[in-house]
Amino acid sequence: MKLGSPVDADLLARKLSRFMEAFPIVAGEVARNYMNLAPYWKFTDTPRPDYYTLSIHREEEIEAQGGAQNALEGVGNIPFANRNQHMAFHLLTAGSDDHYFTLVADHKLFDAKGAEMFMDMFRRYSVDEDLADICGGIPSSSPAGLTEWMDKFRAGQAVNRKLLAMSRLSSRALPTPAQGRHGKVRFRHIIFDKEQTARIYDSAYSQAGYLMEMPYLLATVVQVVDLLFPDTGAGDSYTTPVTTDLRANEDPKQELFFNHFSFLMLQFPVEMARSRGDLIKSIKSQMFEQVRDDLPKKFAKASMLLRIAPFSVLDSLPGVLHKRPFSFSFAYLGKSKGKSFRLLESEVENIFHLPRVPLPPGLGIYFSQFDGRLNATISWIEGILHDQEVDMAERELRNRL
Amino acid sequence: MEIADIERKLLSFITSSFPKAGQPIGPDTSLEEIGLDSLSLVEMLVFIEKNFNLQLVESNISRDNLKSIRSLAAFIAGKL
Repeated sequence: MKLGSPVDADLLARKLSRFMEAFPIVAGEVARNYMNLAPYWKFTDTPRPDYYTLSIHREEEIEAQGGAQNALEGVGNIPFANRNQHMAFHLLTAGSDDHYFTLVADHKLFDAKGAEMFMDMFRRYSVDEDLADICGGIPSSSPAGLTEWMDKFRAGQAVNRKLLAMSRLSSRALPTPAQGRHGKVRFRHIIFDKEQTARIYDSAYSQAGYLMEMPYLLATVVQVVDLLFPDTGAGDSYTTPVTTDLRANEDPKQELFFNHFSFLMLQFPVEMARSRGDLIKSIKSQMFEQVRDDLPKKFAKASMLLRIAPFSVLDSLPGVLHKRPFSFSFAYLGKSKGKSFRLLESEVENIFHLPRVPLPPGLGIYFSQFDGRLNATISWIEGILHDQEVDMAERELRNRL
Repeated sequence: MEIADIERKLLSFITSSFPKAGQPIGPDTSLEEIGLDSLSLVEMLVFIEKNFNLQLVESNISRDNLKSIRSLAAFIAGKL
């Protein structure tokens, strides 16, 4: 989150320490044993002292790294110290009006909405709201759902059939960089102000329909990605996993921990990138067909075993797709549902996400909205794109949205 | 089918699919207030197709038609 003014680091550390004590679940770890062949979340009686960390980054350190953007990218790439650590907080002061408080969250414990809600709860605690009021109604754990195996097997069959049908068209992907796909993740954060955001939502309404922001944003992204791929690149289609949130409850506190998302698997013939209207029509039609076939729920059901390690699902899918990779990943998180706009004595100016892009495809474009402003983040594995290409992608996104 | 029957079916679907914590949902509740997004709207369009045999995904369904359960029921009734 971007803060409007500096906060007292010592006070923040004390508040955070007391807040974290209320959530012993975060000190747990993924475990397997001979009694439970399926992975499960194991609580620990004696949390290691470093089950979470708070690091303070001063102005000189950030300047040495080349500014706030680089420093944020840097903290997003620091690996967790051990298997019990799933959260790392960072307070960055990059200049007189450049302050950030960030959470690097392990996707085994939180998805994007869960992490956003956890930070919102901490903000409320930081301005002296009662911890019991803030934490009320949070279940300490949720059922693993590791029953009815035949049902899950049938769900897996349906997902496989869909992916095999998609594999008839080969998928375009950016070439793997020399160091492989496990290099540093790079981020480009793009902010649209309130006026630009209102104009984008008006265009989404007129071109895609009421509440159809996601299809409008994705169609535009397909057109921008098309410019990043060489004309001579092989592949007949752009194939993209689109993250969808399966939370049924309006109150995200009920489903705060672990992952509650699934995917729509969308595919577009390369030629379709010429027309945003055709792309929007195709996205809506594919969404309708996949929701009617219950595909997102079947996908979640089939991958129940991987509920606490969902990104490995994306690792294994290209195998199903006969080694054909995805082109890019996409998510639109929608409006932030946070209730607090202050952290200690500081106003919160913006909240955005820098998602580590799933592997593969190694390229992802994600959107979220805070306080009437749209945030876009381009994430990529270093070496897949040059900085000039990312500059072009940012320029085209701004021009086309 | 009467508008009241359409309203009742829509209300039952929305109440069970998109529960709004602590707030009752009625025919005049705004769908935006319930927190519908593109995916939940598509879920509702699938429900409408299955229950009223109407394909609305490519129709020109407007913000006014989706203002509330009552206005959506009127829109559906006009198409039946």
